[in-house]
Amino acid sequence: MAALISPDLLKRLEQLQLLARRRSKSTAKGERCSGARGQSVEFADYRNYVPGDDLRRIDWNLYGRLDRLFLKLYEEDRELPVTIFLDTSESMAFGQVAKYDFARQVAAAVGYVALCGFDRVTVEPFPLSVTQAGTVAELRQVRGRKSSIRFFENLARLKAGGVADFNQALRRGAMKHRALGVSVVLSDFLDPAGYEEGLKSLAHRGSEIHAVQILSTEELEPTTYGDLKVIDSETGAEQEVTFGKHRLKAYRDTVQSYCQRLQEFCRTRGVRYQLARSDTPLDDLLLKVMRTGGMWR
Amino acid sequence: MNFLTPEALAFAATLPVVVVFYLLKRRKVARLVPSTVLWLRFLNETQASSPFQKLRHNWLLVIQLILLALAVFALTRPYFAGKLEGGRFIVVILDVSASMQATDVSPSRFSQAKTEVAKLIDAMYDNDRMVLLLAGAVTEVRQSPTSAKLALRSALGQAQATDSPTRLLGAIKLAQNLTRNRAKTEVHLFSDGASPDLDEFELQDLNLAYHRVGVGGDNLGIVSLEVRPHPEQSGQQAVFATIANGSTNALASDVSLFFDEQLVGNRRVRIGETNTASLVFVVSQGTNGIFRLQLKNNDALAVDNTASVLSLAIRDSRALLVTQGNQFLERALRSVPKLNLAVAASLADPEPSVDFVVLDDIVPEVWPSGNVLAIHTQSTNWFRPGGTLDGPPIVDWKSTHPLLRFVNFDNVQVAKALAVKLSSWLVPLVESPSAPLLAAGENDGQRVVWIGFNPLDSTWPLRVSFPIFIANTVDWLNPGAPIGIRAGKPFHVRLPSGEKPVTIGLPNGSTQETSTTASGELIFGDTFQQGVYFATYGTNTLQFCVNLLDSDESRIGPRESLQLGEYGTVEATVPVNADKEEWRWIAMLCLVFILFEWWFYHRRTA
Repeated sequence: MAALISPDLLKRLEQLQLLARRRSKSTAKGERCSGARGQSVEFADYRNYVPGDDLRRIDWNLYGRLDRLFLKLYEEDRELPVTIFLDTSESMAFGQVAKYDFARQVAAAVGYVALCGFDRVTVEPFPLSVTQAGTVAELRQVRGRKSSIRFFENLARLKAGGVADFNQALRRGAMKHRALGVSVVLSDFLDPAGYEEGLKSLAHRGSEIHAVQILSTEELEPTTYGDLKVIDSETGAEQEVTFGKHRLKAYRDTVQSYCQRLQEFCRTRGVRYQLARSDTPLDDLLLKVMRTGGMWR
Repeated sequence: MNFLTPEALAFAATLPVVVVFYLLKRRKVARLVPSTVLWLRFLNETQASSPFQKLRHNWLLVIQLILLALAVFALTRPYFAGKLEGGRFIVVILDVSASMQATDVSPSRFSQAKTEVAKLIDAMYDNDRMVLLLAGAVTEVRQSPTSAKLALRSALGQAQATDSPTRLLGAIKLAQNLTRNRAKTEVHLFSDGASPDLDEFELQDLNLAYHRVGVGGDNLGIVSLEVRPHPEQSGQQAVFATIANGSTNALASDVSLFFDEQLVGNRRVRIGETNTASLVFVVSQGTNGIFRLQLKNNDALAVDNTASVLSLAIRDSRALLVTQGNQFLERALRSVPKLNLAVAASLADPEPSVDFVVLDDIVPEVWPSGNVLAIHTQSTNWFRPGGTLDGPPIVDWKSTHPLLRFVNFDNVQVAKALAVKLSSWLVPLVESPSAPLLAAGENDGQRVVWIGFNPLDSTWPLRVSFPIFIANTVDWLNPGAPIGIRAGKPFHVRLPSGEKPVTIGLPNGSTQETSTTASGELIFGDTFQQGVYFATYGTNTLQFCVNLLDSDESRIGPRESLQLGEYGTVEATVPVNADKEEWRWIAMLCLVFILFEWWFYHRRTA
């Protein structure tokens, strides 16, 4: 646990609470307001008594005044499903501060905040690796603060590798987690096939989505010049390019344009977007950027 | 637009080389990246989709191609036809005499002079014109006026030093004629100044720069060599030689005499500074052959360390003295060794079987066809009568003529002489203020010596110079006299009449074909090499020797100034700073550098 998040930061995270704009529609009890009526201390409404209702929930004071039987309804607190889509592809393993390490820290922080709020946390790493199937299984449906240590351990055991299909992973996740909740996507969003379809399908389910794009410093400002043959770490695709300092600005513009396009796409789909450099201090990202970005309060 | 050196367009072949370098598959630096998505987008945004994108996206290549094209364009020396202000007219006189072979400067004076001239050519502007004259015994226009530096360099490269003495007068006069009525003229003389004939020239307004070549050094040189029958020892030949030391140090050397390359004598001489030493070798000679004198010392000038002379075997010559009685003359003639003298009172046969005829105060009815010494006689053809002179003073005589060698007229008085007008082929040797007193010449192969006064009417027979003159005359009129000329002088000899081809063998082994004139006269002018020449005609071979034998050339100390005429003096110039164009080399360097840079760029990024 200590390898992912420092104890100090954990203490500060404990004070945070995930924000959800929609009421929870989960069936399991929790601590989130939901549209369902149930047992809680929060009064919601009255309704006429019908035979079979629990007599303990009849408002006898009202019966005394109106001589009619009414049932007193309370709002039921239910859990908030939090799904973390964690990009564990080969491309995430790059960077002086590896993007994957940074993404796991963010995932751990989100998960911890959720666990502290009695929400149900599921981590969906993609691509799925057969060797990590056991670990992935233990990262599903994690609930309760006590599970956080186990949660962190399992998270730390995950390794980056393989070729990711971003769209397919998010599509499957959307189908699997039908309950409305919060989805956090931690990726570099550098899939050759694009990211649009995946985000669309996720947003279509009505989930509240937070997209955190994590890029390394080397990707934002490359320092290798000359005639290069760049090789894609996932696909092995090669591309020849002549690069020099005089073209650095053009490259920056390209990256900025790419990120802005992603941001615009997210905005139109109601997805909250955050860009994070892998060498960004974790405190700043979690306690400032993501807080102001509406992830939690 | 035209091009001065369109052949430089050949350098355009380097343009495809750069492109080929560019198109060649280069080894790129392989770099593993997380994803090529960003790089692909980057390339898509910065590249155009035209088929020439490979040539366009690299500005470095474009710049290099432009630079290369400009450099090639510059090398072609493009120009537009137009009117330019006339440039300088430069006349370069390069001394090619023997003294320029001196090695007191490395590698030689001549090489250094050529280097200086080459610098002058390099410093020419495009509108300057230059003439290259080579001045030796004769002046040669090596290159007519031109602005083409290539032609000038080629002409300069072909110039070679000769073994002939320096005669700068002709070259300077030619330069004066060439520069007359021209603006911006310069005459540059590259020489050591060892020319004795400059006092005959008036400098006037000639813009002459004298570039002194050489620093001077030790040198011994043979300045005279001749062979004569020994006056006292019958059957012996006396070889007279004079060795001059032109330097300011006393020098010593072994002197060896060879006859047909067999050593016949050796002496050790030591000569004080700026002094001369005379040597006499007495040798017996059985056959015709060549005497060669050799100095064995390593001095600064090698060409004057050897001299050759052709000597024919001693034979008795025959002479006919036609006189009414002249004891002095008869005794002088009889004192000449190996001379059979016949005396007659009149000339009956116009073709007597003698080598020459002496006419002493006789006017023959028929002039002899052979060589003649005519004393106090007149001929209506050659010596047109002009009266007589009483007590004509002797004011001048040409001591350089072979007839007057060792002959002095200082104490000679003449009481009466003939006043005649000489034919043009007769050269006055002794002159009075109003008429020549002694003349000599050769007309159609016939040598004639004429004395305009009766020796008995003068004090000359009482002087020692008289028998010497008679002896010189016998030598000069004798057809068997040694044949030798100075380098650069034309060789002419009368061969049996009829035009026939003659092959001349030069000392360096080469041969030249020529032919005699219709009258059988052989004239050969290419005598700029010292040594023995062979003239072969039919089955006969004639030898003659060419020697430097010039004391001015042997005195190799360069002259600080040239005395031109009575008042003109030209000081040696110091090297003048000249604007030397170097752009061609820079342009060439630029070409090479661009190619190298492109190659290095590929090597670095490979």
